[in-house]
Amino acid sequence: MDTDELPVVLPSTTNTSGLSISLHPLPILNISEHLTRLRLQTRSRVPFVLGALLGTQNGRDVEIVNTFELAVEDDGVTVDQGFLVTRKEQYKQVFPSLEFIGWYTVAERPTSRHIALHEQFTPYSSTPLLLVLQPSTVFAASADASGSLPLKAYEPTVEIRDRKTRSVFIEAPFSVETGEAERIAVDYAAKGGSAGTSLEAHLQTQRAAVKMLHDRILLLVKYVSDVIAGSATKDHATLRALSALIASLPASENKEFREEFDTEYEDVQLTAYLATLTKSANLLNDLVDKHVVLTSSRDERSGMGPRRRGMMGRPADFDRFH
Amino acid sequence: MASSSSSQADIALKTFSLANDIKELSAQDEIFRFDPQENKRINNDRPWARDPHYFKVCKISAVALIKMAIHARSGVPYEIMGIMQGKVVGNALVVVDSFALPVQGTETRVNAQNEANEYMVQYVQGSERVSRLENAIGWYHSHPGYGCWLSGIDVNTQMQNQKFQDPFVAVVIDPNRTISAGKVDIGAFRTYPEGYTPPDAGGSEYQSIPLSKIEDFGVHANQYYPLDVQIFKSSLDAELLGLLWNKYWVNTLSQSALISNRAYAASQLADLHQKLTKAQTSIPSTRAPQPIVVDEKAVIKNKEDKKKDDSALFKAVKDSDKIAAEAQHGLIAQVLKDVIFSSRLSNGAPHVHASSSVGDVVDTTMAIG
Repeated sequence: MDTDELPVVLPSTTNTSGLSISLHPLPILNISEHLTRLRLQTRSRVPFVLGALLGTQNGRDVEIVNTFELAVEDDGVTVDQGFLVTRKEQYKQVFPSLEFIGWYTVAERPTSRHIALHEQFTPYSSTPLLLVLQPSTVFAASADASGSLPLKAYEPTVEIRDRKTRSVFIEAPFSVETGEAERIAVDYAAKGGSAGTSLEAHLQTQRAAVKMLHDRILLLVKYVSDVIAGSATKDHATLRALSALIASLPASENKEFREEFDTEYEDVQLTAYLATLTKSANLLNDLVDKHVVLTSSRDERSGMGPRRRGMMGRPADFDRFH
Repeated sequence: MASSSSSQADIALKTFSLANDIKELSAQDEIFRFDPQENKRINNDRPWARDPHYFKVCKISAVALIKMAIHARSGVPYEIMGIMQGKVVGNALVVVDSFALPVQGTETRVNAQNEANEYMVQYVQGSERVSRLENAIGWYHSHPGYGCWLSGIDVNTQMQNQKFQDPFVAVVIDPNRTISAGKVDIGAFRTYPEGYTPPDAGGSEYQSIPLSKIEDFGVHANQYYPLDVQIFKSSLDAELLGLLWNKYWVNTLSQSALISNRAYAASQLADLHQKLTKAQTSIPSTRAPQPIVVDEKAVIKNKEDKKKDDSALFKAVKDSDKIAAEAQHGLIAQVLKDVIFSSRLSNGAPHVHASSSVGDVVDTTMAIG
């Protein structure tokens, strides 16, 4: 590979990116779809995939929300700038708050080829981020116990060495965030679209989430007991974070919070009560109808009519009193 | 040394597959392949022109679904519109991708789609450049808060589409109901050509429609039929989704359906109130169904009539049950969080309190039915 060139990624121990990146599931699935499509069309395992990232940037917080594909000229290196600009404008019309944040590709790690591509994106954004999907980790070992996403994000920076500057990448950590509609849609797609609104399905989702929390808590407890027993190294940063976390429980003992919570609880229970009342009214109505059918005889029918209407009319009078 | 020889065999296998480009794509990914010959053939053949009921299923890819859901939610309270790209496979319309159109629909704008035509043409042409070869196969729009069906204007638009741009499918998505129910509320429809009367289709599943829209719904309900919606994803998608769950489970706990959907819930209650007031006038005149003499022909006929005889109060009951059940689900989530994060530890008492409070809410939900 490039053993004769300096690596373009600076080691993460000496340099850390100051950005906090939030990645949404949609870009991840977009990249996956792009890769699958190109794989099918070009019939190669690792086709050249290139696309742009859209999102928002507020100071140090970057949120990557959407993506679109990019085209390269036939030499495989020059990005089709015209297409990039047109597509960017089209997306701006529909989602005016999103901006060009960076670009993505499929590779093991960034190489000098990616630096060359990076140069072409600098006119559009001062520090275009690079998001890389690593194909080998996905297909080689599905028994990968780490369970982490095969994606890495890089921030471009300049390295000064031997009085020469060159562009390099620093790996940046990212977290996954979702909006509510996105989360529901992703959940729905993950289950194959057959999730029901039944109580059971809802409880199962909650249970899965709580189980994850529980597993992680168990892991933390095990770590702390190992430290006490002396079998694990004390990491002060982690322990400090843990104690801060515990100090923040219970989450809220604020009186106002409790009041609001109780009000909401009561509102929901009131809705349930009203629903059962409506159901009872309907059942009663059905019962009365059937009773009428059973007990009405030829003579009394005309007499019963107006009386029945009078009885049913009374609820309307009650309303007027309120 | 069996292990070293087997690992050597492993390495040999991997080298072999790498060298020979053996397709590791499973059969599930085949649907993503675009075959221009097949596409041309089926477009020339046009089997749907002969049978108005030709399409039975609408398959939507995970990516397209998520994009449409996000777009619909971002547009609330306006209706948004977009185009879907895909192809025909057998008697299914397959949607592979979607993109948004820069128009905002309101119920009175008939030609919203014409305005976006230029955008759409440019976008589809541009897509070819990045190997997205599929053609436009349909359009989608959102009905924020009032359900998935086609309004009068939608029906007209779709009939035009089916005349000039077939194959074309209409998809409607409701972002408010999606969030309140916790599952994606989406429907796919095909209209019948003018003058065609459908054979008596079985009654479709009841859905609650706000009073202001119910007339529009009823008048046109027979001019189109729904397609079965199925979601598909590639094997890579499935793997990534599994890994993603490890990250976004936090959001499942941190988001609250009750709080994010307050406006929608309030509007649902107001609408139910109106429906009940209206029902009040018709209730006195309800009659119980006549007792049936057991006679085979009569039994079958009466079963069909009974479907149409639901009184307005009965429908209101269904609506209220739905509203209450969804609110209860939201409440369960809240109570669970309260129990996990806010209870003070004190010797055994919290366990009793916790399980009883959650149990109460679950009982209420089950009682509503």
